[in-house]
Amino acid sequence: MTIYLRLGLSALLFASVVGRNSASCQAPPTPKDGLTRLGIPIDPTSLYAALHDPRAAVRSAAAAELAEMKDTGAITWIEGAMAQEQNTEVLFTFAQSLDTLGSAAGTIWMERYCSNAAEPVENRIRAAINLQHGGNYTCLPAMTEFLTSKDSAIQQSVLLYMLHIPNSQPNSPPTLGPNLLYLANGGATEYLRHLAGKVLMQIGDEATRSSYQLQHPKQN
Amino acid sequence: MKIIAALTLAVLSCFPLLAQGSISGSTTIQIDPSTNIVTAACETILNGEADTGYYAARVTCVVVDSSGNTLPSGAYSDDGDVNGYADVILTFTGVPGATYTATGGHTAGLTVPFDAPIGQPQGLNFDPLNFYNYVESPTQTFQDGYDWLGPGPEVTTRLKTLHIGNTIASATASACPTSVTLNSLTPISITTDSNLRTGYGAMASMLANPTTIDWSSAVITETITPSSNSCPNPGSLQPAFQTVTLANSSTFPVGQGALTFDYPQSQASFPAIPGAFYDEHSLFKNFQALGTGTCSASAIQTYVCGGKTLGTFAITKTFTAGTANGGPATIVTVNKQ
Repeated sequence: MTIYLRLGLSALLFASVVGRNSASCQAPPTPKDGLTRLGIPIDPTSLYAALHDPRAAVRSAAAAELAEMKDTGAITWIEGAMAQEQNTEVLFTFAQSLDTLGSAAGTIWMERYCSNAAEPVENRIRAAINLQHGGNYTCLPAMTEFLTSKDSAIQQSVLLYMLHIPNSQPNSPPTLGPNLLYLANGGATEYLRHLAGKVLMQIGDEATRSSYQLQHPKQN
Repeated sequence: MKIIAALTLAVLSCFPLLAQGSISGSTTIQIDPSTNIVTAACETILNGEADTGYYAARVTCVVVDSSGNTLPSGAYSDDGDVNGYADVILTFTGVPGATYTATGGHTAGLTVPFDAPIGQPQGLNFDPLNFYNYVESPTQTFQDGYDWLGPGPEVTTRLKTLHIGNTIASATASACPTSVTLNSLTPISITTDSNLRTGYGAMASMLANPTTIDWSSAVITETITPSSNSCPNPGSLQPAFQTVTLANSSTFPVGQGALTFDYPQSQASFPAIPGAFYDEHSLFKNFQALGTGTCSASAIQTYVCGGKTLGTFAITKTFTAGTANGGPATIVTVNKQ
């Protein structure tokens, strides 16, 4: 226990002193890496207990690792921990892990996250992507809003999300086609315009697709 | 003219005496690059005089990996000489980087007992083309395929099966994906860590193709070469990208989830996606790096496996003076294409 505590404190100290100023383009730590670094054994019993660890990072990584282990027995444990959780980022990871484990409650949480305008943009996009992995495109209307973002990084994220939707969806909002057409014609970069055009041809409504085809005959 | 006709007739009439039979053996092994499904095929074929009812084609097929572990195996006997050949086809999913060797064992079953006169040894089998000759020699093994001629003359033997030789073939499953493509790019906000005054970036999910193959054992590394930077120089955003070479690159684990690099300060997690790996593009500092305005920096990234480039991407980090967590901050956003 003392060793684990020392390892954890050392890691925290290292991260807070050295790791706070960094330019990174590399493989990020896996949940297993993070837990090992903080001295948490990788087994279900230890991970269930870690869901109540005083350190938020440990609680979050424990839920993520349980989801990665596909431990469906963890669903009740995560739901129990979720009821007591105060940290918003950890709450998100709990909900995300529940959804990954196939819990209906987790899916509902993810749907709420992506459609809740009060949530941070990245959490809304992460929730949408998490659902999209399971073929759930409920978040399409919420993501459509971000096509008009002034941030090209957000536009790219949302376009890549939409690229995974195989065809027009019944829940497509009426603004989807026009917003995609707007980006396809006026996106900040050639890459974004091309990506928007591709998404438009894939999931846009027929009228907007026809309009795009008329304007871009070479790409069809 | 009469002489030529007579000679031709003589040759034709002698043909049955000269006619030969043989047994062909072959082994092939192929690995589908899009699925890593290994298909091994072993076949024994009776040819010519060997296919006139005295023999039955038999084959065994065994696949081993480079450690000598036996994987699928099978055998088939064309008893009754129904087809004149026997084959075995084995399929299984290979492991990236593994080498598999298939060995076909080719055997002729003797189907006609020798009708020995009373007083002579009984229980013998008739071997009209003398394939028994190969049984007496050390077992021969040939690459891919071989045609064993029946040397004659006819013999009898107590054996009922004559193992005449083996053929082998090997193949290695690719250890590396054919390409890497961008799957998703999720922005990560500085708000995930209230202690930072500059940050953050994006988490890219990259697909290792074809995604039908489990590339968890593939060693995928990267190179990063900074290409441009419009930020104040000298300034705290220089460098915005660290040069990465294959020598100091990290390895990207396919099929595993991720935490943001600033862990444990930040708790953002990303779930495992089959066939994908995560790559974080971020910059974070505990001071405000850019006082006013906006600037950007770019770099060229390649993913490499087994010395082969799997994909090349342009990464742009944009820095904008703004606010976060109730104070001035430099917001970092990332595009990747």
